[in-house]
Amino acid sequence: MNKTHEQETKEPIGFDGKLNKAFSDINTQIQQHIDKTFCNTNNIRWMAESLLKDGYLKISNIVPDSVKRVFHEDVRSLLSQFAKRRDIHIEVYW
Amino acid sequence: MSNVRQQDIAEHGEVIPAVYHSPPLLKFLGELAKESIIPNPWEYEKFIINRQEKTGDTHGWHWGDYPYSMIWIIQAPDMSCGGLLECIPHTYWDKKELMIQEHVLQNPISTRAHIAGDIYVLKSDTTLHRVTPLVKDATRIIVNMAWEREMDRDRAVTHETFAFRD
Ligand SMILES: [Fe+2]
Repeated sequence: MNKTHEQETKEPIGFDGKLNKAFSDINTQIQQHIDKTFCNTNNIRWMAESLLKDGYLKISNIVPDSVKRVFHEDVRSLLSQFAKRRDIHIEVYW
Repeated sequence: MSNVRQQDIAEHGEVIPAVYHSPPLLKFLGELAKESIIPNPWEYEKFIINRQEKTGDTHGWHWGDYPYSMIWIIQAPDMSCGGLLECIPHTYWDKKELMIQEHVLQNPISTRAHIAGDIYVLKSDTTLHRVTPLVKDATRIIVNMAWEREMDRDRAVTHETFAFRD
């Protein structure tokens, strides 16, 4: 597949959980939510089979609403500061 | 289509990188996948924010470079605007001979509409998928996250679909 896209010259930045102020709290919230919401192993089995069968699994409650809310806020804030139209030219199938 | 790159999210975002690396989330995803998954060894393809906005903006048919993706729908237009997910699971990516049209002709296609707040997991390396073009100017914002299998942590990956993230 041939493609051209803007050269991404900026080096990527790795992740250090100790430097991320949200990390510990988010882990606690997600852990508690999963323990509470997905405690039925039978349900997990059917979800796993759905993912296997369909290649797709809608699981909008995988995180608690509190995490989803701050996640969406993070997205909006980053978009307002850093979004750039990067038109990608790529071999098109239709 | 506009996007926010991994580098900007990693440097200036807080919640997105935290969620992406969250051990309880990765453990649970591993239970759904029936295999251990890890943060992507290639930093550039960990996460991206994409915003389709103009008529014709699309993510064309492709497979993912990495096996598991999670897509967070931040904003979605009415389904009459396009921007629908189409999937063909259990298809295999022969990088020398893509045969996209043949795959599309030979298989049923599942089409799904989403609303803001939806989250889905995609087995993206074996699910041929695309997001249909917007048929009018409208806003569709997603975050795409991609993870690797633990057992493949050292494999060589060609980043064919780096630009195509949905
Ligand atoms: Fe994709």
